[in-house]
Formats: sequence, structure tokens, C-alpha cells
Amino acid sequence: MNGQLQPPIHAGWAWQYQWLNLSVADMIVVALMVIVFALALVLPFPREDNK
Amino acid sequence: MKTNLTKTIRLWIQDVLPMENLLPDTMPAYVDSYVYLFGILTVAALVWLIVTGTILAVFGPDWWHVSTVGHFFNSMHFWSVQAFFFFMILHLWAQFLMAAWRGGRHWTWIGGWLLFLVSIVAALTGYLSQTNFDAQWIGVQGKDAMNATGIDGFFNILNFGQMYGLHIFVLPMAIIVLLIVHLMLVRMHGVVEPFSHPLEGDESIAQNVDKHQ
Ligand code: HEM
Repeated sequence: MNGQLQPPIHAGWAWQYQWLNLSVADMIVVALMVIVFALALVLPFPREDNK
Repeated sequence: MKTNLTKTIRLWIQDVLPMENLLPDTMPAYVDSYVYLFGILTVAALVWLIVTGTILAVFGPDWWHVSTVGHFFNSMHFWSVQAFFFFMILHLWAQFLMAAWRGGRHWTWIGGWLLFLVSIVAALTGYLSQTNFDAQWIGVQGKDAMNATGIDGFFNILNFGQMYGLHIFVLPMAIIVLLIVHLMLVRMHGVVEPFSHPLEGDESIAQNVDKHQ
């Protein structure tokens, strides 16, 4: 790889499976999305008591 | 009575989207979950994107690359993009899991997909508009992918002027127009009812279920 241009973007280590390429940052974001979605489902929504 | 274009349009609007439906002050009881907020959180991120993007466009790259305040607005624009896609995808999951295309809402769903696809192109042109080495790298790498599809003859990602123009005007406009249609459709149809059963006493829901089941 000597003398070859290197990308200026360094996403670091990535999990690789066929065409799929997930960096640690990618996986953290996906995990956060799943957590926020689950919380939105289970947390009770505050509501006014208007009879 | 005589009709004319203005009157026809007015009657049509009154019929498909009366004011009470456009700006309702109550929601059906089942709209009782944070899940329904993902759409409006996406809108909020978009508003922030447009505000910070306008400031970046006014002051220009030599400002956003070197000054502290420029960095700040550049970062706000970047993080608004992250929030925009984050909430858009959660919104998509929510609508997918409740099959929100039911009851004649297919255009809301299809419009959502158009918004998603246009947003991806807007993000790509944004990365190409940074005026730094990242942008150059993405442009030079990406051109081969574009060439492989043949679209490069028209959509040339090495053409900075074209990418910047698309990013700061054409694509945001397209998103805004699609979004207005998306939101009008949501108001016209009302929030999609849950799978379980039509709620008692709610005529509009009962009618909908009759029509579509
Ligand atoms: C720019 C991106 C988008 C924005 C700002 C946006 C905004 C909204 C808002 C505010 C609502 C009403 C409240 C809600 O249920 O959250 C809504 C409803 C809806 N959205 Fe989106 N949306 C976007 C993208 C999408 C995408 C990607 C899809 C799916 C492909 C989608 C499908 C739907 C559907 C089917 C509804 C109707 C839900 C119902 O009738 O109850 N939207 N959208």
C-alpha cells in the first residue's frame, strides 16, 4: 500500500461481511436508534386528565 | 350557480382538507405514544438544517473553515443532519411497523420514501460542498460509481458548482415541497388507526374500516 493515496476519512476498525461494512461509530448509532425506539414504545406518554 | 377556477379550488379544499382537519386541536385516543413524535422531530431537525445552512451560505467557506463561530455553525449543520436521519429512520420504522399505508394512505408512505431518497442525495451533495479534502476524496471516489450507472453525464459529482447549487437550493426546495404534500396528506387522512379494532364511538374510524377491510 506504500505510495498509494489514503482516504482522509478515518472511520477506524470496521466489521466486514460481504458488501456490509460497519464501523464502531455505525454500530453505536444503530444501537442508540434501537434503544430510543424501544424507549418511545414503553415509556408512558404524559396526558392531561380532561374528563 | 356559475363556477370558476377559484371557486372550484376553494370547494375542493373545503371538501378534502377543512380547517378543522388541517389544524386539529384534539387527536384520537390511540395517538398516545412517543412513537408519533418521530415525524415532527425530523421536521425540527430540518428547520435547524435550513437555519444553519442559510448562515453558512451567507458567510461562505473561508468563514466556516477558519473562524470559531464559523466552526460552530458548521458543526450545528453537521449534527442537525445526524438528528435528521436518526429521527427519519425511527419514523420510518414506526410507520412500517404499524403499516401506516393502510386506509388509502399509500401516497403518504410513497411520499415518505421520496423524501428519504431525495434526502440521501442532499446529504451526498452536502459532503461534496464542504470544500475540503474529504469532499475532494468523496468526489473522486464517487465519480466511478456514478459513471457505472451512466448518470454522470448529467449529475457530475466533480462539478462543484452543480453540486453546491443542488445542495443549497434545488434539493432543499424539493424536500420542502415533498414535506408539505406529506403533511397535508397526513392531515387529510387522519392518523392511522391501530391494528386491533376500531375505537367505539369514533365514526370516522368505523367508516374507514368499513371501506378498507
Ligand atoms: C423528511 C423526512 C420526513 C418528515 C419530516 C416526515 C414527517 C412526518 C410527520 C410530522 C408525520 C405525522 C406525525 C407522525 O406520525 O410522526 C408523518 C406521517 C407519516 N409519515 Fe413521514 N416524514 C418523513 C419521512 C417519511 C418516511 C421516510 C416515511 C416512510 C417511508 C414516512 C411515512 C409516513 C407515513 C405513512 C405517515 C402517516 C402516518 C399516519 O397516517 O398515521 N415519512 N411524517
